[in-house]
Amino acid sequence: MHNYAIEIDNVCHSYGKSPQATTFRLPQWHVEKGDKVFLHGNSGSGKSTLLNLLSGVLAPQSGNIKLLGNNTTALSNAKRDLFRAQHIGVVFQTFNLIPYLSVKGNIELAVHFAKGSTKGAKADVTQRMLSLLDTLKLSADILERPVKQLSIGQQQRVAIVRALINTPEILLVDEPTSALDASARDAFMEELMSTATATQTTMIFVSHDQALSAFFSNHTDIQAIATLSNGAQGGA
Amino acid sequence: MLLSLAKQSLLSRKKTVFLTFMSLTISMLVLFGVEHIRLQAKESFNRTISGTDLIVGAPSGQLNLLLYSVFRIGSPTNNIKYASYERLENHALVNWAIPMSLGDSHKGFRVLGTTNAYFEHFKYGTKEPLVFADGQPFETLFNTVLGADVARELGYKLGDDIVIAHGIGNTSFQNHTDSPFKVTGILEPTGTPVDKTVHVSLEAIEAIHLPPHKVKALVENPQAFPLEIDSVTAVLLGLKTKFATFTLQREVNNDPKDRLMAVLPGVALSELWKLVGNVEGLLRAIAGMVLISALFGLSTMLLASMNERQTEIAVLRILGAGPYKIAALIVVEALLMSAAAMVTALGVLSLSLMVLKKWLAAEFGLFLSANVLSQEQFVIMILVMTASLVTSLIPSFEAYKSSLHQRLSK
Repeated sequence: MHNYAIEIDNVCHSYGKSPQATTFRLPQWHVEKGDKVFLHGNSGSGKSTLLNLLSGVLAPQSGNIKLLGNNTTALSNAKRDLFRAQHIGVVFQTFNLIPYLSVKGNIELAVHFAKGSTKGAKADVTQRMLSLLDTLKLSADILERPVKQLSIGQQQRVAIVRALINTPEILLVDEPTSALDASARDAFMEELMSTATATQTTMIFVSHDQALSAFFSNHTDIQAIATLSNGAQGGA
Repeated sequence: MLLSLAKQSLLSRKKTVFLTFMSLTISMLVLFGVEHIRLQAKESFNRTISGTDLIVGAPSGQLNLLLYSVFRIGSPTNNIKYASYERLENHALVNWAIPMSLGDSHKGFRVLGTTNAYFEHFKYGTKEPLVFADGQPFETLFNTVLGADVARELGYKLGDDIVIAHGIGNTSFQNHTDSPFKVTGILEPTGTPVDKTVHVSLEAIEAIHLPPHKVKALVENPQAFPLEIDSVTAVLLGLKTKFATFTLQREVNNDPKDRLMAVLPGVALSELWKLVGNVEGLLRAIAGMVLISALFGLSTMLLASMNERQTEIAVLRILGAGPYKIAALIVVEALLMSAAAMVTALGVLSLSLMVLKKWLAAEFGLFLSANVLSQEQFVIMILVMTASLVTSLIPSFEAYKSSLHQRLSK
């Protein structure tokens, strides 16, 4: 029996209940533990839907999603929310942080929602926070600063610290460099890759920017694994 | 964590939050103020007189008689004959009688002409008698006993000489400078109009209305000539048995020798309260409406902020906050604001009562305590928080719905 980080089996999700609603289908997909996948495809090809399904914010109408051996589609909403808090880190394009909290407040919020996690005491959390900041080349005095005062580049790094603070096994990243210029982008990507490698995190990196594919060995085209169709085309 | 998150979130929207907070505070101030004044007024009304079975005065309304004889508000319409008082005092059913002669003032405080029976028999609150803090009842003509507030506010001590004038008000045209009174007693505070009264003997009231040369003669020798008392304003009666109250009331009302009216203090008090009660009900209703409208304002503010908070909700969702937690966050924000407004409103109310206490007592005879916390107020506080909870459910449900449909990216 192979030990996958992500196993998707016959997943089907419709937006809305009408027969004309857009339907996302993904028959089969596996990701090995520790793999870093560059998931590309045109906009509107279902990348976001896949991320929503993986994170558990959306639940599929049918099929199974197994993460780290747990069938998350069988979990209750509350349990799936907790599973996400404890095992999945997410980084968006922008707006990863709550603007009115300090950097520290944002990171602590992630720790708070992952409560029940046996991954360590408060001292460990602080230790991990500082070491992640160090890895991402952020100084420790940034912790007390309000998020509003940070540059976009700094915010995206803090977002990674926030996403990795609970040492998640899976990291979902959605176009994190779209707001960065080329040099900032490359520096950010290098730090992201080395941090994820160091923590042996399985990463799904979504982008339509082929320039970033150089950082990855595993490239997956979303159109090759999933179909997005409306009711009229797809039929019943 | 939810609480500190809610606090930080509110602080990040200072302007709208502050305005909503102000409208909540003001509406709660109105509500708690109305309620406090209502409760205190009722209590202070009811404790003003006790143990008196009948009040006898000239025929007018029973409210009028009660107001001037007990509350010292307004002016008597007419006096009754002194002989009527003497007849009542000697009546077989009467245990004690206190004559009252009103119409004069001393530096804004009412002067009451009476006898020492007043200090012996007058009761207030739960049948508490008047107690001398210092000194004793009057012995000679130009003696006076002061209520606690009079002594405190005018700084009078035992043995001081004071001047009592004819008429009501601070600046009377006729200041009877020739009639000096000696303070022989000061009463303990009672929280009733007694505190604001200057007590003298019935004879003294007659004396200060004499021509100056006669007053002068009296000051030199109180026994210079006999003083004729021909009328009093009202008489308080204590009966030997309560069962005789109605019999005596009927008898007094049908008195052939003088035009008299007897009222039961309890009945008159409740009539007065009924009159005030209508206004009070109306005030309560208005205060309630003002609060409801402020709560809708709170709800609207939170609802309107939902749009700008979409990203915030998205972040909370990916961190693992369920839709219920996000709904709870909104409720906590609303309750925080209501609670803050409530504490502020009660504080402001208490503070302003402390400042206005004297003025309310002097001007309206309302003795209000600055302690705004009572059992009835607690009930209202709970009601207010419940109402806040209920109105916050509208934006909270909206947050729940939007977080259910929240996607990780656009």
